[in-house]
Amino acid sequence: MKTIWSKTIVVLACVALFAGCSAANAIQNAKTSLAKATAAGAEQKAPMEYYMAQEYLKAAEVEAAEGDRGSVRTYAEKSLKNSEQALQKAGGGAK
Amino acid sequence: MRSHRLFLVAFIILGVGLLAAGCAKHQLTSSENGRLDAIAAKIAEAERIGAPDCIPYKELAKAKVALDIAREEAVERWETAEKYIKAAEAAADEALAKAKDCVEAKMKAMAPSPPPSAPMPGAAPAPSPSPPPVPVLEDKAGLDPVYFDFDKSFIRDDAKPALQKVADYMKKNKDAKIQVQGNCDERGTSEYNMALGDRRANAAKKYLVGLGIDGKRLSTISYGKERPLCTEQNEVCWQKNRRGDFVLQK
Repeated sequence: MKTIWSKTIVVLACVALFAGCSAANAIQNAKTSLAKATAAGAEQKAPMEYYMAQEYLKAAEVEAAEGDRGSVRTYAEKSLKNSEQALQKAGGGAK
Repeated sequence: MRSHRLFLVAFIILGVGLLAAGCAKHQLTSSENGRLDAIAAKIAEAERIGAPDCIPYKELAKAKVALDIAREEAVERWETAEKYIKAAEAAADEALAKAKDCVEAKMKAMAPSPPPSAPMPGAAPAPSPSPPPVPVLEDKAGLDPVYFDFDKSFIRDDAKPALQKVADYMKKNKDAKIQVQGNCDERGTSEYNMALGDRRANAAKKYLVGLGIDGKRLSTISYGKERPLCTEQNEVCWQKNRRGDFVLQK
């Protein structure tokens, strides 16, 4: 019986750890992409996509502070998508 | 063994409970939907009023993102949605106000200055106004201009016969070289219109090349909004200015 409990706890801990890591990774990826867009001058060349990427990133960080990992990933991914579009419009994306 | 079974049952009950809690969706009432739609309408209005160069991107992005999150959260957790709805409302209001202020400021800047008052007796005579610009004499070889939509540079269907005429002329006159001149209406900044005029001239050139004209015989130039044919502030006049001219090069 003791074994079942300990196994369950280990599995749950791993799942929680994985979820936490993937949310943090999503935010990090979004930040990196936004930094690239900034460097490519996307704020001037693709302002709507650029500012939307910024806003989604802010929302992801707020949700991360509140512990809602599902929303963190959703908003970080939207931020990433917008900064990739901004980067492409600014001419800094893959040709 | 008994406690093992008890553990399993508890686990299943917990799982089902969590699933049910997760699946419970909030049904939006018509007034809640109306509130979200009103924000979307304000965003669209700010974009429409601000186009092309008074668009408050920062505020609009804030409003759009907050509205998107509010729509998602409204179904999941109405309490959380409330803060995003308020943020979206505030940002949309700010965007609309900024767009209006910017357009008003531009209109004021474009308004003609008041006529000079009568000179005071004994005062030095006012300098004579500068003469009207001398019209540029250009040989258009009877070629008609092509017209463009507002803030666009694609070739409209009604421009195609005029372009065909230019192509026919150039095929008949093998040595003729033509300059395609892109022009815009007065709305928007000079820099923006220079770029737009350039896109228009190049769109016309590209179309002519597609009709078999050697690109080397075609040059382009943009005059932006510097060469209006009409100076009234209405759509009929603006349309006359959003054009591409074809000028024979000596």
